Amino acid sequence: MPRSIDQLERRAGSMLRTCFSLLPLFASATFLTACSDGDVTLEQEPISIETFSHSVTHTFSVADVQGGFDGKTQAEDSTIVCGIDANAPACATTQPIIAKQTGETLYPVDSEFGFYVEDFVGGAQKIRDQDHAEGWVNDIDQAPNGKGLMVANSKTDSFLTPARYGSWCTGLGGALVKCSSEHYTTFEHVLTCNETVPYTTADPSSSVQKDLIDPETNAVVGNCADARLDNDLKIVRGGSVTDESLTSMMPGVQMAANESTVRDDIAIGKDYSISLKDDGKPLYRWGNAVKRPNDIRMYARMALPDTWKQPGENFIVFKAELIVNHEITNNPNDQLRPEDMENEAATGRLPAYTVSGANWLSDKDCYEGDGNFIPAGTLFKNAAFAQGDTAFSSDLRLGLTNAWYTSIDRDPFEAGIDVGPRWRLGSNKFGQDLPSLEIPSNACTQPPFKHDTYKYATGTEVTTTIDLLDFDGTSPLATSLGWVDARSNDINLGVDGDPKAPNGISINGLPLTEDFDLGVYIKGDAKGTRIYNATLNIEYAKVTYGE
Amino acid sequence: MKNTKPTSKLRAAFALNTVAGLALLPLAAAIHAAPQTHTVSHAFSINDIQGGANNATYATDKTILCGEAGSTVTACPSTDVTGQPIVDKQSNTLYPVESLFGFVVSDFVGAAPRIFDQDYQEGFAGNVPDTGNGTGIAVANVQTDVFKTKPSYGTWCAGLGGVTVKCSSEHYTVMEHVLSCNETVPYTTADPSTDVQRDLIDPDPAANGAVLDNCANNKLSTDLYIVRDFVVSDDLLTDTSLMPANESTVRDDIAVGRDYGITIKDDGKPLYRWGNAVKRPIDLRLYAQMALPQLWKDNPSTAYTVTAATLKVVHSTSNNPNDQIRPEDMENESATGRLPTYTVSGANWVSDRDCYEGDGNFIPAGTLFKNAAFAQGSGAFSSDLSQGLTNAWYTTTGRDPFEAVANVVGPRWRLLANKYGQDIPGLEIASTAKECQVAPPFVDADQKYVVGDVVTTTVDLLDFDGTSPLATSLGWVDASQNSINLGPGDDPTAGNGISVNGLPLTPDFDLALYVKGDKKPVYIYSATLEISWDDVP
Repeated sequence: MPRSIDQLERRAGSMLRTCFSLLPLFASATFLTACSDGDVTLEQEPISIETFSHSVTHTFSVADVQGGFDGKTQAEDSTIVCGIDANAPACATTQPIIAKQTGETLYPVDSEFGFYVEDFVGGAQKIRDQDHAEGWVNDIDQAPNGKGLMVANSKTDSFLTPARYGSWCTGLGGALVKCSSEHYTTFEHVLTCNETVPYTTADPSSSVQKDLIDPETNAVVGNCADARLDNDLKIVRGGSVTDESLTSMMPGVQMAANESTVRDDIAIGKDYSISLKDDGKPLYRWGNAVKRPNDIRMYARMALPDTWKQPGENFIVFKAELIVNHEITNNPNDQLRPEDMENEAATGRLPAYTVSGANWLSDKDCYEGDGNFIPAGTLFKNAAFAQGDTAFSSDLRLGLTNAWYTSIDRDPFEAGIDVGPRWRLGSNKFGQDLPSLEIPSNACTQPPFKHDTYKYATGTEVTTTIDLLDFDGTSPLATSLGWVDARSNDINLGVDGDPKAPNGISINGLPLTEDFDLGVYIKGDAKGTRIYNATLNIEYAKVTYGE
Repeated sequence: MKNTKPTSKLRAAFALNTVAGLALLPLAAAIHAAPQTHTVSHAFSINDIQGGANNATYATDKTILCGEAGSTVTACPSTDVTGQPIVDKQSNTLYPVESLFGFVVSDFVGAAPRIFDQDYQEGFAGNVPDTGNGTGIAVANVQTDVFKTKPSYGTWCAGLGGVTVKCSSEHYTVMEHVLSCNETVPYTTADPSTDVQRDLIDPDPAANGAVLDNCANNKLSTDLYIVRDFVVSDDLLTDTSLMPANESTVRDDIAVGRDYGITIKDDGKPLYRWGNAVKRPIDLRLYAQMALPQLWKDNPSTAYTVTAATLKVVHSTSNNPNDQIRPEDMENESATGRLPTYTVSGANWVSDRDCYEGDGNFIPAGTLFKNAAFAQGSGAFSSDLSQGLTNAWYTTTGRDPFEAVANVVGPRWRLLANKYGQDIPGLEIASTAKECQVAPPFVDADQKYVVGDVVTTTVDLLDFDGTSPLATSLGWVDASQNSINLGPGDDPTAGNGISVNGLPLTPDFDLALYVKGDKKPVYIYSATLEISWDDVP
């Protein structure tokens, strides 16, 4: 489903004409809406359109808990959860726990979805070592949602790094704050008063920065330009800093994608470092520690229509939603992965703005997450400072300011204009560049927020509904082939990272079958959270074209 | 041997004198009058708020609060929410305060004291009615100001979304534990009697425990260079007395190295720092003058011996351990509260029970609190290095700074809070039942103190390292006889008048309370001074 303004403009002409002239003869109202929204692509003039709907529900249980990258669940491998029944091994090094508030007994999980860590070295993927130290689970049955699964994660492991190599900053008493971002303008705002993409300077159309003022005399003693960050980063290999400057963000050119080691595949400068994520985005980091969580992962297989599985069939999917009943979690990192897909285009409600020439201007008074006031008219996009394709990150490429990324005029768990919520379990916090700030019930009030002003309360029963057709470009799920055949879905990856791999086991250990394959990751919920069921609702069409 | 460290040399001397003087008892009895006691209480109100242009109290300067019925500033000038009266959950109205007890800050430069600008942006105060604890005062602070610094110049680490964590300590071993796995004073290495550090292992199970590195290769660089007018000079810091005390600027009077920076506090201690921001709070300060025995004031040159002195403050439990109680404007590092217990083994101190450090690390009984072989003596920058005290000593949760140890030491001179403070600043104190039994952080049910609960903090005014200035009446009635409180220009011998902190020092008992970082109101009801003394010098 096209989401960007550019994409809509590109496609609107040909497609909408086709829809409006021919479809009223034989299409359903829902199909017409999808068509007029640009969510359906027709290759040519159809001679008939037949629409269908399909709904299937899965109730989560301990049987869904995965143990590793072989795709197996507790239903197939009873050694994953210890102590839970006669078939399970006795618990040895890790014992069951009792949920603090509600008293459920939760049983320990052994899985590969975590890391062994070592200070100043890195993290390495766990193996099935039978220590059952990766978290706890048990079945539940409580009103109003009935049966489901309770999950509690074990403590997230972390390791120390040299200064600026880490993605978290460590303070006294084990306290940690997130010191990494995908956006240069966001982390620049934390570390300096220089603005590479200006938005709070006296004249943001120029590159003139703010003066540094002596607070006692009000004399000018410098300029924020003097405090700009050093962007010359040298690549680290084998634990040593080389003389090679970082120039490419393409994984495999100078550095591999890396979230675990600090001895290789990281580039370091005077003020910060960069590592590359799987998707080729940079992660700017200025901390001295790295966290590696222990996930609890569930796999649910939900039946798709039998007709989809017939050879040669390919239906148009014009509506697909996944409805998950669960508790509000305490962090926004619990992923919903339909067909093992991640999806950056499912953003939830983004800040509202008006377009002024090539710029975006905020349309209301609001606050950034750190409490800075940003009046209506604040530049979200300052196009004159866009650096184009050579820039390391999207903010610099497009000229997007810190205000765009940290304005609290957003809700990632609320559907926005033409876009659904993030593909995550609903949480009480914004996440992303506002990782630990709770979402307020009244948007654009000054943070931090008190408990009685939170929009979402951790532990509250909630229904998260995501739009499976959200996508930047044509979604692999826009036709039935992308659901039933992994070769037709280049977002999910085979074991070796191959986007064209057939059905089997994905690179993340999720079975990819001719049915709907749903992965759910729960991480960082040490106090425990509950997930009950997921319902897939699909509306689809068989389109017949002429000769 | 259990730790029964006397907190006061005076007390030790007192005990010895008592034993030695038994033979003289008949004669002494003949000239001693009965021991005297003196008790005086003060109920706090908005009249005790200090502020305005001259640090007077609202009792005499009716401009300090705005909008209050007795104020001459009937309308608060600011339209900002922080400049208008607020109402707490008990429907008490708190009025904006104008004072100098804060800072204006500037990124990458520093902080300067506030000026008298009548913006009423320094906090809130209001009277509260008697609901069982007597009448009192509610005080609430405004947001603490923060300025950015270069890396390692700051005392707090700033992360995304304005979140900060404390990145500074008076103790090298504590900082080193946060930043490195090297242990300058070893206590978790395989053999802490040697300086052999831990190997760093490849965590990949397939590597079969291959050694990749050693913590010794990741030790902090201790070369620090003095900063002058923003420029890092070539002058290596070799003596902490080379730099003036400084908590405000990052332009001068700071030394920085590859891994951390250092500044010097008022008391000469170093502050190790590895952050990128500095916080400067805006205090609300209360002043209470409480009557001392008339005989003391009538004979200001006579040293009447004080045998006991406590101050009881009734207040709500604070959410941070930084609200100071300053009798006669004194600070007191020797009032420590309950410290970790240990056994002495040769020159070392060894923990006497299993426990946890504040970051959750388990430290079994037998952990070294003091590893004397690694004490560096008087040349070291900080006390931990000079004595060989480990990170475990400073960060074990087997302590309570707000709990007295009978006949040994009283609590810290702070309003009781729910957190440990010092080197475990953000962690709530474990309940008595759970102390050292569960790893932190502690869930609500396992916490000892609840923010907002009304409590009585009783501090021992004779706690002191050495002879307390309050051990005789002289130190109470005459500031020139109390070297701890400072007059203008930091003069420890200045007579009565106004202290360097703006507190009146009079022949009576002068008490200051500082409230900082409490955006939710703290309720302070009363202070009661109880003194036992001999009326014959």
